[in-house]
Amino acid sequence: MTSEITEKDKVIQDGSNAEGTVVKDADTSESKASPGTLTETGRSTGTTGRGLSRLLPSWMRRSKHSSKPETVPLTKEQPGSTEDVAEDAVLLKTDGPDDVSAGEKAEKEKCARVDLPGAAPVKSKVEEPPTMGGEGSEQDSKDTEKTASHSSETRIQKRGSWREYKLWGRKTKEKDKEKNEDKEETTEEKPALEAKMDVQEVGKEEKRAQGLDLRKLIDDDLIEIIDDVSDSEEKPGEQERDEDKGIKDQVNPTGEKEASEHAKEETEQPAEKEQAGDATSGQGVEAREPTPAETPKGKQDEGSTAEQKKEGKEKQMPGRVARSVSRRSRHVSCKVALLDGTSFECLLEKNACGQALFDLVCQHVNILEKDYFGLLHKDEAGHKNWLDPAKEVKKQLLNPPWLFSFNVKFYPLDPAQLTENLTRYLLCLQLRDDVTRGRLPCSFVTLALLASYTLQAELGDWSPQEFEGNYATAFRLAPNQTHELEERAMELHRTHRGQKPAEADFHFLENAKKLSMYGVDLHHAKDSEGTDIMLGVCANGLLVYRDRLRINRFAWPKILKISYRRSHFYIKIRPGEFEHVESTIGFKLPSHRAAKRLWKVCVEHHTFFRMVEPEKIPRGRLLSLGSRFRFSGRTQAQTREASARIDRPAPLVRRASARVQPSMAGSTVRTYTAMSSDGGAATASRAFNTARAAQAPAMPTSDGEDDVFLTPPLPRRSGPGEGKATSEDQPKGVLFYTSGEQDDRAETDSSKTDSSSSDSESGAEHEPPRVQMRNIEGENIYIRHSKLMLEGLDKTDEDMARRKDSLSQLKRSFMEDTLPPRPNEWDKRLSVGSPGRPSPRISMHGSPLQSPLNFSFREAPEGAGQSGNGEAMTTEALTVTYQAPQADSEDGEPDVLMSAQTITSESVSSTTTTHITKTVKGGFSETRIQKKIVISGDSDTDHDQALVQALHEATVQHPGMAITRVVVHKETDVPASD
Amino acid sequence: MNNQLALALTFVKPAVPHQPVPADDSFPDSVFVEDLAVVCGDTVLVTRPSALSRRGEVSAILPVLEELKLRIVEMKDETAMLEGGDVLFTGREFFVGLSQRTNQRGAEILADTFKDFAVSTVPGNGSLHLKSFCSMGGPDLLVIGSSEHAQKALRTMQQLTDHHYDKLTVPDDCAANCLFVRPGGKGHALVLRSAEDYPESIKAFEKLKDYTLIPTSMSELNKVNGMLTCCSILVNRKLDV
Repeated sequence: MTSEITEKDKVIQDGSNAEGTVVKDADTSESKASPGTLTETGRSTGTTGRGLSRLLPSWMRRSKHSSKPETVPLTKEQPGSTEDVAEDAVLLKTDGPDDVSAGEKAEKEKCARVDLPGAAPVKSKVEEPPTMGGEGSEQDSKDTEKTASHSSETRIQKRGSWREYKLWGRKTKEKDKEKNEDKEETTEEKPALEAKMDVQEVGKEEKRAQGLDLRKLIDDDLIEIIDDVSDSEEKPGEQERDEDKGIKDQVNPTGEKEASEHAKEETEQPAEKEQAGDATSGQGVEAREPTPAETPKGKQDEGSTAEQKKEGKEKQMPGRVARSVSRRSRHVSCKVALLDGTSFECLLEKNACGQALFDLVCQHVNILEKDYFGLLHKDEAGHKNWLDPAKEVKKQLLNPPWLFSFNVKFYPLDPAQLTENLTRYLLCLQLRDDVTRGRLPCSFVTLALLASYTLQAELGDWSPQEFEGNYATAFRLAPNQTHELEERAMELHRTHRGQKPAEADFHFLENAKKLSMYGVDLHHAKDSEGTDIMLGVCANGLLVYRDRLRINRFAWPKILKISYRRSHFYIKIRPGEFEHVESTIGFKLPSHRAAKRLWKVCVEHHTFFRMVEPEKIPRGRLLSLGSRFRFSGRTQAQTREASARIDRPAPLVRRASARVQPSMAGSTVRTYTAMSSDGGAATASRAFNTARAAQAPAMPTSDGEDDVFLTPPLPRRSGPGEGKATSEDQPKGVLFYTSGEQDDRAETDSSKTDSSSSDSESGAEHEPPRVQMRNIEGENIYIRHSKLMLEGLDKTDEDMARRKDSLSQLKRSFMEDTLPPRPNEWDKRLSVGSPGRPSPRISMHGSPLQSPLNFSFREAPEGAGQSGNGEAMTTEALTVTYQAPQADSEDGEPDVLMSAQTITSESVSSTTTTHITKTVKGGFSETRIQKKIVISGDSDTDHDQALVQALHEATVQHPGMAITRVVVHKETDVPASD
Repeated sequence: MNNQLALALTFVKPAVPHQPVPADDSFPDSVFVEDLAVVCGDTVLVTRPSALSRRGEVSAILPVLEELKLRIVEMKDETAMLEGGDVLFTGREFFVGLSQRTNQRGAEILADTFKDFAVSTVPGNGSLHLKSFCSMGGPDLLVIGSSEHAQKALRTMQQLTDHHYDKLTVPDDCAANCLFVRPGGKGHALVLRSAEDYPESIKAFEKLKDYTLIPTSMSELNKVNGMLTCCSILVNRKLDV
């Protein structure tokens, strides 16, 4: 019926007034239900029609007289001709009355009027404003809801066939993915339906007991998942289905027919959708038609739209027009808070599913083992919900600012089994957060131990020179961080000497996973006696806590069924050794949503941890009474299998810790900044950055870069490769990257960690893919003494400030230490603007190879910087390198120089020379940008600040690039030369 | 009570140096704690025995604990009751028997003190201590009596735990209270009631492989319903004595 209405609308638009009127009446029968939903209706119409037509035969037999007429028209509708529809409508009109008692009829009509205005604003204006719509609608509109609901209920109760029908229509509608829900509709019908559902549930359970819903489980778990029927907030899809099923059960004894119907319907869906789309577009066009004269209806129309908005479908568009537009090409900006404290922004198509966004984020994070993660968003009440990847994002969020956080959703029981260190690193970040926020309680000793691993992972080996004072204070390590704890953590930190960051992470996880609350997702609830308890969902099952004490536990294998109804959550327990009867245990949750949330989490955890593969979404509605919600991701078993196949060089882990790095010891002094990156990486980063590009417009500055980028040899991601690509890129361009992550304590990294094979072979560069690792060697090279961090653009002011501080501090230490060794000619050169190949050693060659001499200090720019930028480039590492002269010598052999550009710019106190070279080595192209910044000033302090600024600028200018080293050369005056 | 206390000390001092259990060993490293204190790791929770008469004992034991350089946590809550005899530490988690001498609040404080571990409550059996019919006979080995309430408690514990424990059922509840030690850090030794006391149960213990059984006669203590573990507080701590 709803569908008909829509059709009518169209018709009306076409211009048949009289018919339009008629239509209204016809609508009455059904339309009331969905006043607000015009658009939807329109779309769904097609669907309904088709579905119905096929179904007709069966329906007709079963249905009562009343239904017949309707059916017929519907069939006609299918053809799609507007005229037909109109006729049908007429027919309906006539027939309808017969069935219904006079009183009902009257009521219906009333409703119809009311609805019409809201429903089909356009037509009403044009055609029969005065007649029905005008009067009735305006007056009634106020009462619309009441009336509508009333009428609908009556109907439902009185005519079984109608009810069915209607539901059918609605279902389809919803299926069609129409965004607009009718709140009213839902609310109206619920009462009646729910009542029935109760009765039906009994029946359902019996069926289940019979084994209708068997699933494959790893063990012998059999869990039935039953959704609550009354889910007001949920997308109708789920609820309605439930309701439908229930009703059908009652109404139609012949299940078979229905089943077949379902099948048909399902098959038809795609087509339906298309139709729906068309309808929509058609409506969109209509929407523009409204003329000023229509005012009254226009208002109503708006009202209806408003309602729709409320319902959460299309919040943003005020009018229909807007809506239509939005449907087509609307992108919504999403912001995702990542685990390392940075955030990722992107534009997401408005209709995109959760999966699309999730994939984007994973790409950005460069994680392959993504099944353990998920996106959380907060609802209005501040409750966090997991974004369902299978559903459209917009259906799951209300307010347009789409904010998410990227979090661990399933805590692996044994993190050691994760394939990649990157995954473990992210898990660590999550756990650190859990610990500091108190979600993962642990004792003092454990806190200190975990903290010490954090220090080790972020700072590297403890050494008396580097770590002075309370360096642990810079880290957030515990919920209530005390000095005592920091002391203890630092004490333990010393004992971890020699552990690579990845190893430290590993140990961190080994300790964290033993904690009793590891991976337990807690939900407030009350037990049957009203006592406050907490329900904890974890990999093994459901835990019941009272205060901190565990008072019960239901392992997944013991649970037969989980369900929720309203705000109650139920589990049915498998009879055990000693009990012989299945028992159902109910818990009261604070709200319906909470119950649903808990239920979903349970379904997901059970599926992920206990099943071999996700359960298929139940297709036949008849057989599965529950929600259609199922966990759609991979199960742990699957994800393990998949990750076993991961074949990429270990991705770079960009650590995002605040580092406090004190001093540097350097001898020689040369100043230059080299930024290098592969073209590939750059591109990649760019791609990533697109979204954030806004923030980092810097790209332009590096004019030369663009060219460079175009040429990038490296294929960007593909399949497994993407991760690789990145990592590969990184290595080349920036040797130091890698180092950042894994071996911060660059000094001696034997490349055990991921990037393992690091020997300081420049040769590495030649071979792209594998090379990466070698490049990493570069890491070794640097000594991260002091780290200067340049921040990614994203960084917050604080960060920036902090870095600057550390930077200047560094500088200071530099100057003091450094100066003596050799002042250089940096000024000279720089000012000159070293052309094609500037003094070679310094810049390119030297850096990678020279490892011995240089101290590079790479800051893993604290996650912020890194994560902020694209993947590869993300991190802007500032390497402060003191090069010994010798280093340069190594590099003797240059790469093939493909292009070189030199750009010089001057400002008051500084001269910047940018030298961009593109070289090809071993089939690998590499772009390096060297910046020489000559700062002239009188006092040291000036220099420091200037340097800081210069570095910052450089970073900003080349967002895609990483700073591999910074060499500070201070000269009083005199030129030196290399 | 003085007797008992003295006994505890004798256990503590010699036993400690013999038990340098590696930190990452997940076996019941620290703990058997009797009524006055619960020790786990380097932390000791000084309990609040329900009987006022016993609270004095607590102050008597404090100096010893201090000497062990444990982090001492005292129960301040007036409503809390906890006795070590109701606390079973398995090496992975705690079970607290709720009894006349231990209440929910006491268990909560225990949970707050040892946050790393799950603390599960086992509904009580009146005046009996949880450990009067069970104890840990080794890593992941639960020794349990065969009485009805013991078996009931066992089921509860099985229900509540995430881990799997082997169980050794012995005919006599009292014999189920034994003391597991690792002299020198290796091998398994079990201090248990002598054959004179419980001839049947000792047979059950003899099924354990690779265990050194150390039968101990407790006939004197038995008169006052004393148990083996009651006499000791196990501490995993190297003493710098």
